[in-house]
Amino acid sequence: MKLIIREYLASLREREELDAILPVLVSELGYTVFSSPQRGTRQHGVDVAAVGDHNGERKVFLFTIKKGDLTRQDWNGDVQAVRPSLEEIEDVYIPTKIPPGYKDLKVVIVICFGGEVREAVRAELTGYTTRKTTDTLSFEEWNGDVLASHLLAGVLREEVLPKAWRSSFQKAVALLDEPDASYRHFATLLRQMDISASAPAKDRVRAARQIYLSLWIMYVWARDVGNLEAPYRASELAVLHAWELVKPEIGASTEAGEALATVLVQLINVHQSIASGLIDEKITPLASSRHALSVAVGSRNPVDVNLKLFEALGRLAMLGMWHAWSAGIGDEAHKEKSMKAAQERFDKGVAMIRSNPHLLLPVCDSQATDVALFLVLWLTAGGDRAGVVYWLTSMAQRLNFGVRTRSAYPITSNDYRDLLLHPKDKSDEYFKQNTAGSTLIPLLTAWLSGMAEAEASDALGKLAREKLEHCTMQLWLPDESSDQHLYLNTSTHGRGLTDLDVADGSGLISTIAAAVDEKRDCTALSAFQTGNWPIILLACRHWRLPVPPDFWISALSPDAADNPTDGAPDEDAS
Amino acid sequence: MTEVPIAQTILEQAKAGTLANLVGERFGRLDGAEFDAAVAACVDLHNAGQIDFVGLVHEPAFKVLHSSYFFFAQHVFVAAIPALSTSLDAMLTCVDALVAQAGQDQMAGQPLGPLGAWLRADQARALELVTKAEAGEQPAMNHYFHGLVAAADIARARQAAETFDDQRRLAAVSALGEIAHDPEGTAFSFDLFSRLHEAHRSNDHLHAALVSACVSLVGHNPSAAESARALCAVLVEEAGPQTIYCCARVIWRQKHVRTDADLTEILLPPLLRVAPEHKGTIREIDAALSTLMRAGKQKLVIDFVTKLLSAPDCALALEEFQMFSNALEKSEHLPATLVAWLRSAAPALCSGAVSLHGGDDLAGQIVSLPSEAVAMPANEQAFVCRKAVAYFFFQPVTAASILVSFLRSCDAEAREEITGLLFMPLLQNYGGGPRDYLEGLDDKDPAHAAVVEALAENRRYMEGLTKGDDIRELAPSEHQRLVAHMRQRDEATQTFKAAREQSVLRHFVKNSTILYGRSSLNYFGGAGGRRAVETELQPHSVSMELPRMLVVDPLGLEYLLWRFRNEELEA
Repeated sequence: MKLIIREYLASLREREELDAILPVLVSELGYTVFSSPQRGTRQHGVDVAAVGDHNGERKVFLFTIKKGDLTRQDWNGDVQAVRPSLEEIEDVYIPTKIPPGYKDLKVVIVICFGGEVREAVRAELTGYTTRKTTDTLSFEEWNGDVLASHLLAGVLREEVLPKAWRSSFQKAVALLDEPDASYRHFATLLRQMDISASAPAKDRVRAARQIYLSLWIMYVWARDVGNLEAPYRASELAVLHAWELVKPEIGASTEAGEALATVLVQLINVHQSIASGLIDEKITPLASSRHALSVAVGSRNPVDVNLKLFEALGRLAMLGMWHAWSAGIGDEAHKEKSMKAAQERFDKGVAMIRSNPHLLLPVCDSQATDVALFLVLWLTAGGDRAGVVYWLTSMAQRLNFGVRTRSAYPITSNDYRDLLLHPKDKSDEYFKQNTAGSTLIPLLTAWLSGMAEAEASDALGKLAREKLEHCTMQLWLPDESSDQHLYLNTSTHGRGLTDLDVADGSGLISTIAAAVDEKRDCTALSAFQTGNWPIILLACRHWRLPVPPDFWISALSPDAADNPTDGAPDEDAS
Repeated sequence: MTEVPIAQTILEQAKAGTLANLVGERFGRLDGAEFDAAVAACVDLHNAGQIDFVGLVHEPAFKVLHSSYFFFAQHVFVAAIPALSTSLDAMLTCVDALVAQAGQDQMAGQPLGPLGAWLRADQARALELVTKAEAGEQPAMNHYFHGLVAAADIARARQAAETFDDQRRLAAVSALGEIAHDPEGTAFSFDLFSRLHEAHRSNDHLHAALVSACVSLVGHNPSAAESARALCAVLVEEAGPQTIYCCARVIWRQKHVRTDADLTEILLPPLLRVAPEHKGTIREIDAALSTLMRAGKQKLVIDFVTKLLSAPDCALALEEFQMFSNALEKSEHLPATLVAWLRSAAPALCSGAVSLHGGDDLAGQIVSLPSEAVAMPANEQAFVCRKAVAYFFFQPVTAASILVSFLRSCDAEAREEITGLLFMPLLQNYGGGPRDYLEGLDDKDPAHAAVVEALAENRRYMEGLTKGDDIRELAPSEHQRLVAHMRQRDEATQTFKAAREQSVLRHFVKNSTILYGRSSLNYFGGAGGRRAVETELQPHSVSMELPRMLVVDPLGLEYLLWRFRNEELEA
């Protein structure tokens, strides 16, 4: 276990990454963090400041952080090096920045780094700290080994992370190149923690921190392996678990609530980092090259390509929506930057669609979730309307062709074997069995109609009338039990809005709007109520649930301010 | 086997009840003098009353002969029948049994020829048959035609044609066609035929027999050609299935039809009305068409096939006209026909064009169309190229070479589209055959510049395609790979099984499964003459390039090909 953690610490790429876990570590060691600067910034040489007991005496701890090994360059190579930081702490931070209540406490400056001190710099470091040590100022080295020991003695200690849990965690890390298995073990770990809403707040905070650290360790290892699939899925699950831990504190202004909210934000940040590592660094660079992403799947089965590309599009949409969501936090410049990031993701998504024709029709109905997510991203971030029209009309055209020729059309089953063999035959029986229900067709029809693409909308209506009379056209709405089950998929919940008449596009929109207006269970969800709406979409994506029409129907109404027929939707649509 | 069977062997086998096997498995395989000797021995022993060779066909051992051995035995009977001494009824039941056991095979009717010879060898037999048939006795009624022809009694045949209203009338009419007439008699028979037609305007079987008789009579008496044409023209006006069959049959069986352009033009049109399910008639038409192709009437025949297969909702395929296809493949009209058929947009013709250009190479053969074959307006050139792409998509070298042929002679308008088609979908789908073919084109080739453009476009596409390695996060899971592998293996097993079941070798070779090693060693014979045979095993494999779009855009590819296949040339 220690080896895993040491390797993880040594593999942290940026100083900010160590910065991100140190407050958690220090808090779990019993210290009180009084300064935890935002990622990437350093306050006069101090990254984290805390107060706590040290050998029976209360002291102030000032952490200065450095990634990897401490080399000569890191020691005194530039203004960001350790020695100038130590001098800045001594000259500026200690005299001016320590809160008045701690002014009289002795100070320990902790030089914190993920790796080791290189031999070449050892003498200089020892010489410096010996020379500077006084009765009130001392120095400590927290290298990778010490940090790992602290982690194991603190947040990951055996009493709170028993052997069985550690086993699941170790397997999750060991099997990173088999993402299904790795994710399964990570999910087992989270289930083993099984912190219920009624558990003491302290336990819930610790559980959230454990999830956070476990995810971080997994992410860093996966990054080294070059396969982010498992941590991506694990990070979604981690955010959803964290939300369940946060939920009991909603509305209560408690210390635990604040701590949990902090961990939730940190988890969302890690999730975004992982998503960005996958989407921005691997997927979107190939988005504009014709068929390049399709070929990058590396499979001879078209089903694999289709499943993976829609999955990637859904993830890209989520990443864009997290950016759009974070626009609501911070100043105007941050908002502008976040919305730009969201729009860029949308543009990349359109490029993906144009370059990879598999994205012009899903192979199974559950992929309507990814379709809806990308449409909601458009509503949220804005962007090229023509791209959306091209996508929707192409899907309608291909669906029409696929159904009429009974060649390739989306089926109700998600089972990989069924998808692989589809279409087994062209018989009526097989066709009806595999098109018994659809959420994709109402979704497409509503959007096409809402965007005044009458020809394509009518074609789908005609198709439904002529070939799909047996098919139950439906959408999904949350119900009053959804807030309990949505995030961790603990039980079946929600309601099907069924027998939708797709032959009449505007009527369809009215029906959906009326249902959404009458049943307000989506907006009653805790994540929605607290402004954390991407968590609902994340849950839908993760558990393959349809996106509730509450997220998009108002934009399709003829009198909507941001009706897509008028052009790009307003940035604030969501 | 070189040893001539002796009478003693035949007698022993007859006694043992295994003569059928001897005849089928051994005699039928002999040839030359050995075969003649075996047949003679059977005939002699039968005529001497030592064996019942005619009755052999009714024995259980004969009835269960494997089909290939049965036809060997039938071959022996065909040689023996004319010389056998037996009663009329015994001979007729023997012939009927042989015909029945042959089933639907085209060789089924083989014993009928020797039956005629057997009847002609003794007029008493013919008269007995005719008399019994006219009295309504079976099996004589079934062979009335052979009796009348053997008896060569024209008056009796005419009378029968007017008197009877069952199968005997048909037999009599057909017999009149076979019996040589003098000019006066020919005219008399034609009068009879006209009267029969007038009296039975909706009797398809009779009309078929009349067509056959008319054409046959001209063979005996060319001066009757005009009368035959006139009557045939009337007879085929509302040709039913039998008449259609008969028209096809006389074209390939009666040599004079091939040189009589007017008669050919009368007999061909009814064939357009053949029902797709009438496979026997289609085989006759195929034979007729190939006969006419060999007789130099290629344009006439190609036009006929073009019309036949371009009919709306045509359910026929060119593959059903194998003899014609073989003739067309060797014809100088092939290039022009290929273009015309693609231009017609008729699915059966376009698919037919593909079947004509199969070849051994799975990527397709190179087709070079002369400039006169591709001379047409630019929009039509592009149209034909789209059809070529759609129909020859799985023989991409053929498709590419057709496009290159057009590029050699097209103007700028068509050039752009055809060059585009070379890239997408051909080069974009196939990295092997078509690219090698295009890269190998001579730089003096008029199509070279356009081909270079398409290849450059493809290079850019390929560079984009290989920008990134496989993205590990996009890889299917182990479970999915396992499921896909199992499915692939099941498919391969099914394909292998089906291929084995369809193999013509299945019935002729012993199947051995070798689990280890790279050769097999077998020993034959007893201790004294034991000899070893060692067979080296050789790998055998075929490979073909699968279109890239089957993975990256299967539905798009299907739609594109569907669209190209179904588009019509704008007026």
